[in-house]
Amino acid sequence: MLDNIEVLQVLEIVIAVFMVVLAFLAINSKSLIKAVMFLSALSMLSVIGFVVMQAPDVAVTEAVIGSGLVTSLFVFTLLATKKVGVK
Amino acid sequence: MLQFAAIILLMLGLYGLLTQRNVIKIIISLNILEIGLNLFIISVGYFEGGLAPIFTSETPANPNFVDPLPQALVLTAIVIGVGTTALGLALARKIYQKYGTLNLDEMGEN
Amino acid sequence: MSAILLIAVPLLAAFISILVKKVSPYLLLLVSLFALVYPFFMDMSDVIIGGFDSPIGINLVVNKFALTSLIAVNGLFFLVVAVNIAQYKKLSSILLVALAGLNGLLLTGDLFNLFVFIEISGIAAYLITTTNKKPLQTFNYLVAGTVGSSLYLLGLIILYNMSGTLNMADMATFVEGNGMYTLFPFLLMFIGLGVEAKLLPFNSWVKGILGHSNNLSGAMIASVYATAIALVFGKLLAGVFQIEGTLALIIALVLGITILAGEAMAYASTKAREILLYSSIAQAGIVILLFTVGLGAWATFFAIANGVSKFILFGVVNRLTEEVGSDEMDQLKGSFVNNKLIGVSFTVAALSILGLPLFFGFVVKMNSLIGFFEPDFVSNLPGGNFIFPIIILVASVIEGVYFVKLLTKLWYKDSDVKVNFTPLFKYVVVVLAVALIVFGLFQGEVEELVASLINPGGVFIWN
Repeated sequence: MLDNIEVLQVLEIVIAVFMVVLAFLAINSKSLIKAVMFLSALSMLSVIGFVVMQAPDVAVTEAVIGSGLVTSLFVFTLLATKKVGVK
Repeated sequence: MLQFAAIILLMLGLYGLLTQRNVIKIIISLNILEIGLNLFIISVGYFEGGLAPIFTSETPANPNFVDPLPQALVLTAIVIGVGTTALGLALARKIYQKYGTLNLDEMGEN
Repeated sequence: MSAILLIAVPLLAAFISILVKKVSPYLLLLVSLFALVYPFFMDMSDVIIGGFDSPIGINLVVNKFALTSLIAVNGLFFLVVAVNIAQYKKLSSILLVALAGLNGLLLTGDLFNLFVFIEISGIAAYLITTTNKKPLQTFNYLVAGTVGSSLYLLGLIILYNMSGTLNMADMATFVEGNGMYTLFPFLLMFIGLGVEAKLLPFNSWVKGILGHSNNLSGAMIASVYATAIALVFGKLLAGVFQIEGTLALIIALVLGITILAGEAMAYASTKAREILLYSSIAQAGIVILLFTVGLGAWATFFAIANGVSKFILFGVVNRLTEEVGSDEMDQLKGSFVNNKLIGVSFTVAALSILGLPLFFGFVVKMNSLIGFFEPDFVSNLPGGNFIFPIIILVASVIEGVYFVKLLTKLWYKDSDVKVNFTPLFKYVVVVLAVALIVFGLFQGEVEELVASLINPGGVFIWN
């Protein structure tokens, strides 16, 4: 049991660091499509965060809606504005 | 630990909202802010060693559940967040149609 | 008869109206009429949703305050819709959602539920403002509104962590015992609601939205939404957070600056719509200031009187702008000479906001000012008994200057501006103007009505 909690703590720290880095990259990247991908990855990591914090139902919702639906909405908008890969 | 990350994400979202001049980037910042907020709300109800608040056949007699109410709140907040994001992206398309750019500085008016 | 119908029926109608597009305008009219009439037949009791009792489950609070605000907001909503629906048939479903959101805002007794309704009515408001054809301004409004409600949610969750409750009445007892610790979350929630209520540092969206508003969005945002949000603010300030000491002073100063800056900007601008929108920022500041210092009952009627006047002002000016093609005051010169009836109503509304005798606005403003000097009025502000009446009086003087300027321009003789108003619009505007005068003449009755809002304990919300 103790091992389990220690593993969780390490996992938490890793997720936390990665999330902050990804958020920073998403805000500051020059390319819009890359920013969207970083946001999607951030959303995926937050899903793991929700699971770690014992909220599996929220994790499922976030995975489907936050990561899947929102990313596709962003991509479609970028396609419609013909701005993919361009600054 | 995740609680601090959530607060940093909130701050990063606000920072993005204040510094970015691209419509899509602003919506991305809004999303980051919302993810940070959702993580923060969940972390309010969480304590170490708590169980997911779901009754199964293996649930012990005196279950040590984490607080389920914040989780219900986050479910609502996620859905509302998608609504606003979708509306914002629709507006971004309209803006692009009207001004031919997504950058706020390149538009004639403010 | 349950209050939940006020929220459920518009939502149901919104879904139906998507399926049958043809009847949706009539459905909207029918449902908004229902929402106006229904509060007269409601029992005063809490409605419990979902079978859990009130501190645990969500409840709707039906009391005199809620009934008064429901009748006022739904009445204004019905009139705005009735006048404009022929022009904006496509928006029927969105307006139905807006109605559900506004009713929920006024009824709910749960702080998270309030957040949900803020978002519902907010998203409806963004969609209504897309009819301005100014996507960038609507986008700014959306970003401001979303950040605001996120901050509200953040403050709320901190409060939940401290108190373990989301129920308003329950929260009020918690805040009473722990005033110090609730400062920070309260400020976050105040900022969050301040975005919607147009308070000073958070109101950069207002100019873009109301400065380009059309017949529907102008009246909707400036009159219906402004009244509803002011009343919600009042519900929180008077019913949940009893703020006092330094915090109250800071907030009251922010509000005072909002009032004076709003009036000053209105004085400086030359466009008719800008004058009105800056004036409405100042009015929102006054209403929330009155709620903050504890004159809640009069603040309620202040908000309602302001909503009625703003409906007339924005309705008329937007119609004029649509015909003339510009809202510069010089272009609109003399518009009222050919439309005497509209002109008189507009004048009545402007003078009522100004607070001249004979009009509803006067009764409200005078009694609010008297309230500051009542012997049993205990100010929660250090030295607040004199500063804030003076601010309100100064604001009234500036209002006087720019409204008179606006009115003399609009009544200017020898003009060729010809604007046609629909008979329905004329009728509605005249009826509202007459209502403003009637409420102004029967001062005693209004005072009794207001007195009935305050119960002997002094707490006027949770009776």
